[in-house]
Amino acid sequence: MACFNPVPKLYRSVIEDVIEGVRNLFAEEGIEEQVLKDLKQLWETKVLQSKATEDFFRNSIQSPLFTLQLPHSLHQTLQSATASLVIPAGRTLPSFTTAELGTSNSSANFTFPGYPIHVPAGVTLQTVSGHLYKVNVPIMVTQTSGRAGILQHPIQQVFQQLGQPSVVQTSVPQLNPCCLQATTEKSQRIETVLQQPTVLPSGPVDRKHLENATSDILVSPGNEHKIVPEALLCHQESSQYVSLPGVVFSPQVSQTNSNVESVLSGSASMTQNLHDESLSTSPHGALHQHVTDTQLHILKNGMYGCESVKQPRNIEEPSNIPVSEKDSNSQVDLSIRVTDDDTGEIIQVDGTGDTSSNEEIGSARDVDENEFLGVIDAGDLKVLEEEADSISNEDSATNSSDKEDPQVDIVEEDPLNSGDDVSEQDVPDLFDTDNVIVCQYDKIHRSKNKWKFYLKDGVMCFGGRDYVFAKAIGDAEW
Amino acid sequence: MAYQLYRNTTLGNSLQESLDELIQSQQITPQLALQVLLQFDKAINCALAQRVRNRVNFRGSLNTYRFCDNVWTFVLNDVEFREVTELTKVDKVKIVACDGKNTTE
Repeated sequence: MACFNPVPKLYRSVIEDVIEGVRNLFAEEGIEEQVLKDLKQLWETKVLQSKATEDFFRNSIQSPLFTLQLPHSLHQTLQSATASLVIPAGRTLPSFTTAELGTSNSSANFTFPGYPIHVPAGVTLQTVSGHLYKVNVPIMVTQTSGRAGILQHPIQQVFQQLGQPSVVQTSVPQLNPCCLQATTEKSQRIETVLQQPTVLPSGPVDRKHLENATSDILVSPGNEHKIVPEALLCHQESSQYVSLPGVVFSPQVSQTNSNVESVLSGSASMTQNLHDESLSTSPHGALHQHVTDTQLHILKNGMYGCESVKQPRNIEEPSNIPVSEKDSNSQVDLSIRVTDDDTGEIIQVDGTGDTSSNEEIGSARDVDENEFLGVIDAGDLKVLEEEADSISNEDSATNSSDKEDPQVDIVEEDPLNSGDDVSEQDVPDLFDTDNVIVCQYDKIHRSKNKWKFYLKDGVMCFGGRDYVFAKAIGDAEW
Repeated sequence: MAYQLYRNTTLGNSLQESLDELIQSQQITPQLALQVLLQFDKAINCALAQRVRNRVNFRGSLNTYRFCDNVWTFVLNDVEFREVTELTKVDKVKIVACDGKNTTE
């Protein structure tokens, strides 16, 4: 009896009503009953995933229909997990909390049904073949017909293979884009990228072992801050640079060393290029810099979500390049500063000025001008710069020198009247919140700035959790 | 015609997503999906009116209010929702309320 939480029961009854209500419609359209069942299943699954009702399926218990073996050795892992393992099976929806599993010291055996299984993080699964997988992020496991289930590469992040060293040591499995179905937008992008199965090597042992597991893995769409999307993003970037993935993914390879080595060497040649180019001095520096920056960005993305032996090396590379840039700039800066100090004493500050606030930028321009003009009087230079200012007044990058400098003016101008500005962030962000109540109003009353609300038939969603009310009375002061 | 207000709830959104998936896979037509949603509107309005009986009180400070097309939209801050069984506090909540008097359910 869900007296303390009527939401799951209410939702279930609404779903049943709707499905029954549209059954005739579907029949009239000539659509199969199976489609209606699919709709119901999808709907229930999504409601379940949304954590709007934590114990959505708790109440109905029947004999389990699955054989998912959770070995005793993983008892501690289970205990540490905080989410409950909910395994729906059609209409019979047994639910087991990790506490229950932990205290019973047992494994829960389930045969894999044709229905999606929601597996939260922290659970370890063992397939029929005896291989163990520890789930790091919540996933949805479904079964597809007709295709050998092949675990996808990103599962390396989702699953840590445990227990059988020979399996653990194998390389990342071959990608099979057909099997990977994802329901998030990110995942859709990834799907297109994953249609390059030649990118990663695969071990024969893995393939065999994976074929035994007759299940596909879906990434739960409810996850927003998981390693998997980032791991998959590595793939996305890799579509441009074929050899990169070999760098970013953990080379726990014993059996396919040759393949990995070739991949690593490919990436090594690329990274070597990074070292060789001198970015600031060579005339091709700009182009290479751009390419290198892109590569660095990719490497950084790769590093972010993935463990990699190459990681230290990757970290080194980005640091090398900016340092070299800094060196070149700093030399220029030193010379310029000397010039500024000399002329600083006679700088006058005008009321109008441009927006440069960067001495170095202004100084850089000074240097350029000196190069062109040779020896010029300070006065002449000032005149020239005034003209330049009028032309490029709005261009802060080519700002005039500090003589007229507006550095002080700039500081004054920005805050001038800025206090009158109404902050724009209120309106768009104000109405954007996770906590929403959708209801009907009986009466809304206001007296001066005191408001009273008489609401009814509402659905509330606070941080993902759902509540309902028949009546709500509220007070607020504006 | 029942309010379509409740389509923007967990239940409503999950139904719409499911319908979208079926449309994408061309298992149903958009017209049929619309019919399903209309059926949902009726069902949820009916369920809330008849099967829910609890009351909630709340108190907070009103940040903004808006009344347009007979729909009130409020944003409240630092709100406490009190039910018999529990107390919930949120720092910001948006309330969208349609007129409860004119429904023909």
